[in-house]
Amino acid sequence: MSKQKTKMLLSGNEAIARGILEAGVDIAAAYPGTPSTEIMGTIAIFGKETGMHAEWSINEKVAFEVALGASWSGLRSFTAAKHVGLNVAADSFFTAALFGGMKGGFVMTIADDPSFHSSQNEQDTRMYALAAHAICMEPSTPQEALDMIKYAYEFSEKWESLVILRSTTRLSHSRGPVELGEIPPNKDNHKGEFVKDPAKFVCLPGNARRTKPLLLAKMEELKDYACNSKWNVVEEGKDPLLIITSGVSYTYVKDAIQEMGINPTIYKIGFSNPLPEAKIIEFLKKHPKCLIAEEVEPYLELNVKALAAENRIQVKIYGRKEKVIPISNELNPLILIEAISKVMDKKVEGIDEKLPTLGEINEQLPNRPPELCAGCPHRATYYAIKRASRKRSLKPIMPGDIGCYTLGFMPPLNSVDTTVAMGASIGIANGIAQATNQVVIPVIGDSTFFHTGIPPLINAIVNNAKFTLVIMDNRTTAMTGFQPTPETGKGAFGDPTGIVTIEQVVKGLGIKNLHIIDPYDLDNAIDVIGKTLDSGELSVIISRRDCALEYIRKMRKAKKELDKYYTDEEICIGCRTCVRSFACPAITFDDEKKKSHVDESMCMGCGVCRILCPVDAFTKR
Amino acid sequence: MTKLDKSYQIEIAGVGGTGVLTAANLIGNAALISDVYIAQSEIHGMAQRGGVVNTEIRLGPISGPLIPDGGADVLLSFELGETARAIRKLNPKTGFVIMNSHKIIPPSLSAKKGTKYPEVEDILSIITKFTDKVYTIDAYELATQAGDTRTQNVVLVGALFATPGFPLTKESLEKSLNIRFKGNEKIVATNMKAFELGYNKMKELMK
Repeated sequence: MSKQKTKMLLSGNEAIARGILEAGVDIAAAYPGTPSTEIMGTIAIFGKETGMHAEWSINEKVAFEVALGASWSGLRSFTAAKHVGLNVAADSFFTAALFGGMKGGFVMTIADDPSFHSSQNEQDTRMYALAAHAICMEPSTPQEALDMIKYAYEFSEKWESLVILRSTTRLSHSRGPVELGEIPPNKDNHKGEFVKDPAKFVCLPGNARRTKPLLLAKMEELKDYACNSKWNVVEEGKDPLLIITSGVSYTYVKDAIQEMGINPTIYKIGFSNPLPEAKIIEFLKKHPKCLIAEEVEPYLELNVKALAAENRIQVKIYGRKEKVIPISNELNPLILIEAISKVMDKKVEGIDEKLPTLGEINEQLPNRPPELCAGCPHRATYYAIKRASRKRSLKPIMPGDIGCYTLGFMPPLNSVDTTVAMGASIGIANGIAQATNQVVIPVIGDSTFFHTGIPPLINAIVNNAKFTLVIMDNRTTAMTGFQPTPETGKGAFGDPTGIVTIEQVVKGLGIKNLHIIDPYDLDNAIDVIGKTLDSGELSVIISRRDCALEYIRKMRKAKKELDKYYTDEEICIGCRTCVRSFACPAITFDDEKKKSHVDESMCMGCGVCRILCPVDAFTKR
Repeated sequence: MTKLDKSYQIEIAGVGGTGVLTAANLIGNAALISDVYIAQSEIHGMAQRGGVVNTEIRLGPISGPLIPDGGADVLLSFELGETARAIRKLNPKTGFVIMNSHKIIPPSLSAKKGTKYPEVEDILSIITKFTDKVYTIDAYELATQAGDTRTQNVVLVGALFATPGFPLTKESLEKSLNIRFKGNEKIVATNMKAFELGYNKMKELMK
């Protein structure tokens, strides 16, 4: 990324990262999570030369606290998370929003995921901002994201408040041209000083009680400030319709009205908590109809309706509640065209109704769910657990967790019985083990274990819960793009760091029944898992093998050839064991020849198929 | 900056690992170099593990990053079956399709006895309800000729650049390729070859 002013094609996340560098931020800390990951990822690539500190923290709560501590020490600080990451950090977030006292600017980007592209829910961070009385801003384009984050630092320092910059998937992962500003010259150092002020930083009830009215007064004052904010923009139109919108929804509104050739008044809200109430009231009074276009909860809608009711304004307000806009999921220009048409009683020409619907088309196509990669060690681990269990006629309950290995849910593995939240596999295993006499095998990844898996494991020890925990250690945080784990020994900038291994933690907790297996060594893995299950004790198995994608990358870098397997068609008896029970994407089955077939462009040479084939038909090339 | 009088919208459909994001990035930077306004959306994360991956590129006088159903000027498909799944994005009056005949068969299909992956004719029977302007290219074959099957995406980008009315120049894409694979002359050369093969194939198909 250029140091100078120039124009680049950047994603929203890259633009936010650039804004952070241009704002001269001293400390950035985050835990990866789609769709927020590339913000820290970009800082990790370009931040080092500024002399700042950047880190992949152990979880979102710690990342938040790192940034808070730094801000209270007078440094500009930043944290980023996906929407559910804020749930992890929420305890500290609420208190920090209440106490404020930011000395260095403190901005956090929370990236929401309307339409569940990569998430378990579509919670709306603006509701958090409302509940915590926190400042919230919403950019619409990558350019605005860059400009807004620089402004947010000035604002945060002036008002001693933390600022949420709320993104959504379609901003974080959309690209647009961005005019870059300059990155300031490097400072001599990035150290501040923490000045003791316990009444400000210790959240005892007495201090909190004294602080709350101050916060509420500040938020009241900021309602007027919001009316004059340059981020709340009115575009006056001639039509009697008012559209209030925020974030990326604004761009869909613009596309829709261009397509329809209409000219409503648009109030685009970029500074969205607290809201510019006086301005909203003023515009509502001038228009008989108002449409609210926002993602994804009716945050603006409920507030605007309350203002209209309180002020007895004769305006009809349309939004999700009226089902003018679908109650869930992200918006798009077509939804806006349909919504505006309904509100304005206009007829809209849709796509020819005789054309097949997506549902009808999908019926004629095979499903294409996401799947574990060819050679993925997780597949081999799941397979080994299934084989070991079947040998003993066990039907274990397998609480799963969040990562690539959640895909063990898919057939034919069908090995994930619950997934709730980061670290929840072990917590739920505690519950099922206490509640039933069933065999319980929670499964968790390496990074997720460190994130929130350790407290529930301690809980099992001190409450006598019995289960066999399998920690799938692929030596990286794979799902989000290969960030380091505590076992990697490398920081965000690639510098050497201290190391914590999983076995150190498990042994340190006093768990003696601990085994380390290699899932590619399939027969041994099945044997060890079986014996561990036989023990009936609280036990831990670390299944350790590099992520297949990382392995391929390493081999490519070292200019080494991968092993490749092929089906010896003389030997293959067409029993389908490989495709039916293992389902490596590199292996297909030729129904005419009645033989399996290896796509050698996908095969990475793990050789597990060779071991599980009953007749040894897979052969190394 | 928006020099285009009319918007031009490209829907790219594919599967994780087929180079959808790289292709979008190449076209995106070509637009930036040409001073044409662009908004482009991507999907990351879980879907990338072998799932459906689409990206949308909008050039010219537009605002947001999403193409509405029926809005795309062209559907550029990197995998046979995914062409059908994305066809509703195409403008049925004026749009056209460039489709890779290469198949990527999901393993869940292989696991079931007697299930078949659709053939080119099956896909055509669906998409020709939307348009009869369909150009089928065996990008796997052409990418193999270029020297790397991973360049199927660039073969198809080459085909796109050969279509009349496409608003970006070949030169801008060449510059974009050089930025993307900076310093690796061999990769640039292989990709340029793939681009030319796709470009020429499309010219031939349109004769």
